[in-house]
Amino acid sequence: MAKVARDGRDTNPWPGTSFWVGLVGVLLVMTALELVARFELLPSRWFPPVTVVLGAVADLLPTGDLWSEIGRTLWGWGVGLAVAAVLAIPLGMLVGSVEAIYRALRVVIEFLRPIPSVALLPAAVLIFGIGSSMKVFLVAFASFWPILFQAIYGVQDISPGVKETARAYGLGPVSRFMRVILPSTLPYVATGLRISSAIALILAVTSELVVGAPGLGQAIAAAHTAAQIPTMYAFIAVTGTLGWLLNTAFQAAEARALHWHPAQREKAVV
Amino acid sequence: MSGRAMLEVTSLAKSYQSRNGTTDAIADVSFRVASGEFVCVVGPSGCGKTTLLKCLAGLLSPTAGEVQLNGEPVRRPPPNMAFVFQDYSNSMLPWLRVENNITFPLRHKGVSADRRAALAEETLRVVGLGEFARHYPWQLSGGMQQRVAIARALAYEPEILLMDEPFASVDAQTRSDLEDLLLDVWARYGVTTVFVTHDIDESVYLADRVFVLNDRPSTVQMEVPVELPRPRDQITTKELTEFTKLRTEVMRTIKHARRSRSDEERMGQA
Repeated sequence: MAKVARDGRDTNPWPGTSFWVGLVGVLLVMTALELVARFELLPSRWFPPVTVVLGAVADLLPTGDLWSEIGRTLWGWGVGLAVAAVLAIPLGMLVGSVEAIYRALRVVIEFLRPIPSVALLPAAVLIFGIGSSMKVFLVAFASFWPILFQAIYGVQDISPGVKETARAYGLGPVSRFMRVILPSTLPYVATGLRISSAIALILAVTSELVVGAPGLGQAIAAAHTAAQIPTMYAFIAVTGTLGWLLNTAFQAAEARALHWHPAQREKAVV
Repeated sequence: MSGRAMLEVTSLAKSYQSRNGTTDAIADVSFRVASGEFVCVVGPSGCGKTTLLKCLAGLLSPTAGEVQLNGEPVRRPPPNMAFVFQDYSNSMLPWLRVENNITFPLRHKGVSADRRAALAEETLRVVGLGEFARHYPWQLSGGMQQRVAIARALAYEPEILLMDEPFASVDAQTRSDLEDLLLDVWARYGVTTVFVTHDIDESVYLADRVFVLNDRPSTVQMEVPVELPRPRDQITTKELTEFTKLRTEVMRTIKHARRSRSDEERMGQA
């Protein structure tokens, strides 16, 4: 029997770089920051040592406050991202499939896309008030674009050979959509979701921090106002950890669902 | 020609409209294929062979003339016809395992799950890939992927099989293996086969009859009956004087067709 060829390259230039090496890097940076504060290279009053911040995190963990702030931020993040996905995926697939629509909407899209979502903050406050609908709007607006563009690229990048095979074997338009077009577009959409997830968290925290919608951003601002500096840093650390966890989760989901895609193949081979 | 005419092509013509004007791919092609017959269509590259095959398959509609399968005009891909493309990697759905690539056209045809599994198992065994059912197509070599494409075509249980230069992108050794595999399968299933190639030796080796097309816009320049004994063998068949005579005849026809066409063009310009 012929040899099985693997159509995947090893893209890691340093094979064997593992979890432990990464951990050493984290510990080195934390030690450096600790020393910066301990030796007063930065005033420790405004930049407390890492150990103090970790202590503040430990103090926050048992209280319900931390978890409800995380919940509020995640709610805005999740609902905004979901709204963006529900609008952007079908629209992107439509725009990508029909040339007339693509030409008609391209200028509008190119005009709207570069608007930094934060610049819409005052308008969003006027229209939606300072509550969670404002947060959801901003998150959704910012998350919409990467998903939209990925859906357009995805649907335009389907190999004509695959589409023709489906036609030759008598699949109708609905079957072709469900069994060929949707699965081909999915890897692109998954990448769009991962990019948007990071943007969504930024917008959620920004709206809380600047406008005062409830959530981690507001907690950071409140600790700042109350001069509880270690607590402020503790909330910042929690926000960073949350972003890292969300990104890791999205990456894992992408790799699992799309193991067949050339970009994922070397990570998960049967 | 023995048996009843299964496929009947009558005065088929196909032109493409483009910005640069009209391109005539096929001028006037008529032929009949009997049930169970193996027919090769051979001609110089770019002579409209693929266009002709796609018209037979109902993937393209002819500009004039008609294709009839079992007395019914072909307007869309018929359920009793299977197609094997030249570009094997683009005709596989990379997110489906080999077995599901074989069965995906069967579901909408109303074949039961049990029957689908049995067909996949049987056809993979026939093409010698029984142990690769759970692999993904991109884990297989080019020749193996094309065998999967043949298995998929057989599992569709077609009365007629259309093949568009299926072995043009594999190496010479794999190519002769695949030719013999195809002849085995054809003998075993008795499926009527129309095989397009630019390779003169291949056409004579495989076919009961060879149709020689001339340059664009194509007409059938010549019909060559091949009465070489079956089963055929890469060595002993190709040693026969009759084989050499036939391939020379086909080659001369193609050469002559090109020369007379360029003469005509010169006359036209004069």
